Amino acid sequence: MGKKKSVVLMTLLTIVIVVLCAITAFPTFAIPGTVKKWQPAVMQIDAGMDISGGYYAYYYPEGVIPETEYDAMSAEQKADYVSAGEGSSLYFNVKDYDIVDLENNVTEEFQASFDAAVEAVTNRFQAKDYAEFRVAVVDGYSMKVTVPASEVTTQMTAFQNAAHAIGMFSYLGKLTLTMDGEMVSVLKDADVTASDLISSVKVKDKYDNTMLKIGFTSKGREALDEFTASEAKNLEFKVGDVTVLTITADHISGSTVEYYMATNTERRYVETFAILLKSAINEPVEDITFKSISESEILHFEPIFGKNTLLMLYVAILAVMVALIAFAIVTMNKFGVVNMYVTLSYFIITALCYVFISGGVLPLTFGGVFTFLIGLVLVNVLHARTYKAIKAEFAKGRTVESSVKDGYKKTIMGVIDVYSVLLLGALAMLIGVAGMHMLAIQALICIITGAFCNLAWGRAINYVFFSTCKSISSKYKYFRFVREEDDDDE
Amino acid sequence: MSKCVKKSIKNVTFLSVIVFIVLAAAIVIGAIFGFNKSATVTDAKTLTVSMDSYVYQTKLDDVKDECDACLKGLDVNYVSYGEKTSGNDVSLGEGEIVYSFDKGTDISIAKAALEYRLAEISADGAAYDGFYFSVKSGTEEVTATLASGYVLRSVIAGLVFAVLALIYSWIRFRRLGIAGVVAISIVLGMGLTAGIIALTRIVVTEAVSYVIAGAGLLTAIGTMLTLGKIYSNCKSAEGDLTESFESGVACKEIATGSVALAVAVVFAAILAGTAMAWFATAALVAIAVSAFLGIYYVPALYWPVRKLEDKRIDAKAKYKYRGAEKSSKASEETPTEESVQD
Repeated sequence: MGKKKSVVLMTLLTIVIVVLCAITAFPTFAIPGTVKKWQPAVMQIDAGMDISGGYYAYYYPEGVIPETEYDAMSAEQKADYVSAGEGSSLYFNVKDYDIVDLENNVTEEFQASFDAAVEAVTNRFQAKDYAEFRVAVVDGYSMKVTVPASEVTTQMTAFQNAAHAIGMFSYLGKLTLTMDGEMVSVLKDADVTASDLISSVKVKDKYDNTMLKIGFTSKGREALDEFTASEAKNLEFKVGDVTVLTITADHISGSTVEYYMATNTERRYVETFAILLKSAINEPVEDITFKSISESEILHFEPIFGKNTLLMLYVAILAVMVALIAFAIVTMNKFGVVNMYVTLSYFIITALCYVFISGGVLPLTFGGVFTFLIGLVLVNVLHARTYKAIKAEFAKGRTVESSVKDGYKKTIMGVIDVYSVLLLGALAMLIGVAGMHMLAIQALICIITGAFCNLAWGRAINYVFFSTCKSISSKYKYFRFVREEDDDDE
Repeated sequence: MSKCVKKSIKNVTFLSVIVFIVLAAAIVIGAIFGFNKSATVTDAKTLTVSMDSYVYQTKLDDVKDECDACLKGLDVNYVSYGEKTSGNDVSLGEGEIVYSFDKGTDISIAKAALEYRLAEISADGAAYDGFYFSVKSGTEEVTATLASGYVLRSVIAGLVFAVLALIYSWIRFRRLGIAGVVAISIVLGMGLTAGIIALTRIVVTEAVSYVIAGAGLLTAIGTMLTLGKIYSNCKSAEGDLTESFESGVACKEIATGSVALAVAVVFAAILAGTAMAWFATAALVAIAVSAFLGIYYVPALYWPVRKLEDKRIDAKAKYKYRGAEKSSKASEETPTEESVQD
């Protein structure tokens, strides 16, 4: 390649890298003349609970109140309540509920109902596939559920997604079907439950939208037929006393109901309904209900150790990159400059993939940061290994050009071996669920990007840069080689 | 190449004993005590400091500093988090700081100390005169922090990784010995990391699974670099197996990479704060284990395997049937007495 062409390509490449770096990581600033702010791609990333905090709420059974509510009551109202025990922050209503017996001990019935409720709610959150979450029993008779603030989707904010899941999973009771409020005849038989009517509840993707698909048994088909033959407009799916789903005859096809939510057709949203319905069918919890949760009762917490965790992580990553680039330039001269372009390319591609292959799917956790750092260091180590091989070939007396060619040739299989095994490892990790599955996708991004950078991109950039060196001395300088004048080379 | 590395190549027994002692101890400790979980992911006692919305909006950091100073003086271990805001609207929120303690901690003294201090600062004429604070104690019993099937599927993923690596290495190097060593090293990398974290009682959250997965990836890198180099050295060298092994260990690459990664992790932990400190500590264990395996254990493990393989190959070659064509070619090449005389 001619020198002029190389210089033009180098300039273009530099401009592209600088622009992409700015898009990826240039700090936030207010855009003059507008109320908008420029935000780099990395600050738009969804981050896990440790990095960006989350939302939590308390589930109180009916008849159980927290200390703060008790303290705000009048003396007359307080007379209807007893403490749940020494050191407990809960109080039981003894007037309207049979939670405790005459000796103020919790009854076996209430204990059994509460334990069943805990198990059902726990299973629901476990089925939701959050990368991080927490379900706990507080002071023995209330629950605290915590979800990450990273579930940002196209149609809903992180808060809306959290509020939706927290609200939905608080519903207890068995699943019933009603037609405009009137229970379907089949369910009026005490021996028949929803599990006899519904065979499956699935989430199905079609044309970028997600629908709920409910399969009915032959007995369930009777209920559907009764509805379609009646004058009722709506068939309601109720969990306890709460209507969670309302369909019309248009949604029924044989013994299947296929329903697109009017408000939201995103997978994460529809999954919540499916999990709730399956839970109400398979493990109905009766005799206890949780108080309904309003949005104002869903509380936000900052990252456990500080608001600026994400920003500080980025500063640390930037410092590491600068250190690696500086070290490479000092030891490898212009080949180290090639390493700089490769390192920046790796950073840009992985950062943009982390941000935009998302939709609430890939929250950034410490595991994702660790994987990114592994890939970053690996790219640099393998690039240095190639330099070492080129230097070794040069030391044998070869020309610079043939040293470069042979150096790449001798190291290519080693690089392929490393990335092939890593790729297989990341593919195997896809077997994992929740956070491990997300980490696998992030690892795939890092590995494929690293392989591209080491096997193709670095070599291409080196070719362009090296083409600007025409004299022997400039070629030696490029790699920081030292050798006596070799007449054969000239 | 350091003497230590050279010596270790022929000391697989000694290194294996160390590895298995560590693993055995880790299994025992892990089975009895499990991992040392952070108070945020295990049963805990809590103290919740509530304050009104004005204090929350304007003085929260100062109040938190007061509370932290009070608790530090008591020498109790805790994790603190949260300001509470109501949903999406910060202005409506009350302030709440939640302190989590190990479930075995007696928090009555801490509660009394906090109540005393908050009463002091909200007394007449004090900094927060007229403002309301309350301290509430509670217990939390965690029922779940992991999705269902998380642990089992992660373990299966690790084993599948080892099997896939074995198959790749077998096809690539056409030697079952290398393939076996690759698979064993990946499993050991993950197992040793998990074991050492359990043994040393490093505080963990669910993120420890990411560290263990990272250990598998790092071990795979070191193993492939070392064994690939040994393989190509053995192929090109004429008979000197020791030299092929000693020059094949990717000591510099693994050491440089491990040090660079360790420095990066430590630096990230320093800047990101305590949030990442324990994760970084576990990550350093993963880096150290993978470096140990790549530099010392993998070459030592492969040494006797290679010798055995070479012995078998040589034995097979000795008795290998050569077809008539090859035999006649061989006899043409071999000078006979008559041709020599000629």
